[in-house]
Amino acid sequence: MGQEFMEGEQGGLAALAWLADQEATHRHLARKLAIHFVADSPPPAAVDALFAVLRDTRGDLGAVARRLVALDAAWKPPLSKLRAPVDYMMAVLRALEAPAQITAGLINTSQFLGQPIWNARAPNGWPDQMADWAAPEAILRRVEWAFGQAGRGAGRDAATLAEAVMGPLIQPETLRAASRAGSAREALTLVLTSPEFQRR
Amino acid sequence: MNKAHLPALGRRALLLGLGASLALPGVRLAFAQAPGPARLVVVLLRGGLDGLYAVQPYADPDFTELRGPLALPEPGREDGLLDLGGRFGLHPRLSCIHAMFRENEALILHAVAGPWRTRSHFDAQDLLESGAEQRLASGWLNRALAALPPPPAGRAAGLAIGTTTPLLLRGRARVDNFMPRGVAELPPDLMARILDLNARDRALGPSLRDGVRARGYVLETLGEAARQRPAPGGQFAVLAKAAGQLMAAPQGPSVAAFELGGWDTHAQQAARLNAPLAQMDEGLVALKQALGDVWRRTAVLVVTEFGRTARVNGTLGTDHGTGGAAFILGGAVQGGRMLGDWPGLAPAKLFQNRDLWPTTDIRSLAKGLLRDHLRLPRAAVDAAFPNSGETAPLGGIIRV
Repeated sequence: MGQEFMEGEQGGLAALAWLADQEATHRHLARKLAIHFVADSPPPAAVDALFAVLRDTRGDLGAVARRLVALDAAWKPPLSKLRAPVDYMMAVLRALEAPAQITAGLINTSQFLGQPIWNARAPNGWPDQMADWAAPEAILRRVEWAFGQAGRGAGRDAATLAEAVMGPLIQPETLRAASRAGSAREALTLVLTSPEFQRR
Repeated sequence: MNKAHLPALGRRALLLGLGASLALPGVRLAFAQAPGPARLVVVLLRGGLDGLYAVQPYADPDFTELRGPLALPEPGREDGLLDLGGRFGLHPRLSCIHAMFRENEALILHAVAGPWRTRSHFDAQDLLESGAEQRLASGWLNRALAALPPPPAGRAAGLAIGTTTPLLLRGRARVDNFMPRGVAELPPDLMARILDLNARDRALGPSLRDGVRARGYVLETLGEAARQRPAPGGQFAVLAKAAGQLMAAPQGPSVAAFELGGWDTHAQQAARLNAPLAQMDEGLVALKQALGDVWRRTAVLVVTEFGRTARVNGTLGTDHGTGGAAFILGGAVQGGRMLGDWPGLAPAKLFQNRDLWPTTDIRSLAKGLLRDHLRLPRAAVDAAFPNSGETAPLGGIIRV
């Protein structure tokens, strides 16, 4: 790239600063952010908007994060990003207001669900596409785990819980299936395994 | 032997004969005085078992017309019912329970319901477990435990088998919770509903279908091709066996509860009930085997939150109803009989012109077991079932 940097730490920092100020870096980062927060194949307009912020602020991550939150495409239903296993695990536990003691077992759960905490595959890290997380066994394990957890919510009304955690995103089919379930636990399982709950 | 349907003279003679045998110490010992404390198991059938399908009143003049495709051939015919004494027949998938009936270890009750008249599963299950007409914070079985002699230090008198403790066993008395390994599988019926709900999703739909196929889930509720195949006893038999083994231990719990789902058959009931009926049958015989000698001092109460509509609906299923069937099994049970007042199935006899009219309060069964099997004093039975003074304990369930 026609640049030379000093040896040692100072040189390394200078190289990073230079790279962080490149248009190609801004475009790459904008695309990564849009893929992670908006869609596996994000709309070009969303990528462009994020890129423009990075370019204009010369790589200000706070500014690009604020722009991301303001993007319509990031919020517009139907949400398309499949929750990765750890996201899913957290979402279920939060929805059920699980007690703090449960955290002790979550390392094992993350492994069971296919995303062992602190053990991302090097050097690429966790994948970020639906196809990477939607393997049959992986999805089946989510369902089974959710059924186990749904026992905690016994006595809780599935429709109320769905409304509280998903609001307008909840689909009528899901509410109908939950209302016809054979037990409160089965109703909760249906909500927690619905397509919309597995999205973010 | 089915004493309820013997002519009066025969029944009387039988009672006299029974009385005579009770006078013989040896016989009496074999019958009733099994050493050691009584064991009580409660099995909750969640989802609303169709009592008219599991226990068919084939001799009722209105039955065949009312039930159409859900009326099975009479006893003695191919794939016919298993006779319970000339008026009622058990579904052929309940052959082990039928064998218990013939060995006088099964009491079957019809037209049973709780005092509630809700058609909501959740409300009805809560009330069934609360043992009251409104939802309570504790279950009747837990309140009953409080009156039992305290278990040895460090032990619990009650045991919930499964991932969670049902409301039935929640309360102040300490209850252990045990989950055998490898039983996190979902009920096939719930799996089928999850598949339906996700079918429209382009990623999750195909993944779940492939995953289920790969796991070899019970397919008859999931696909047309395999509809007729019976399911292995599977998960429920594992739970039942675990319950039996734990209760058979010298200082094992006096009381245990577990559950089986899959009964909410709004459509294609005949195919969908094969698997849960077979599971129930195999599970209960697994429980009996695991209990060994302790079976002689055991009673098992099998109940559901409500029966289903008397008429078949447009999708060959039945909807949430009222009166249904209940089972009391065990070596301590004076079985081989059908109990309950049969209300009949004529249109005018149906509750709200749609359900089997309930003639026996489900609490009277439980109260009878608490009084005569666990030998709880009256105050303790009343504490387990508050405000149930008008519902007397059902006598004669337990051998004397």
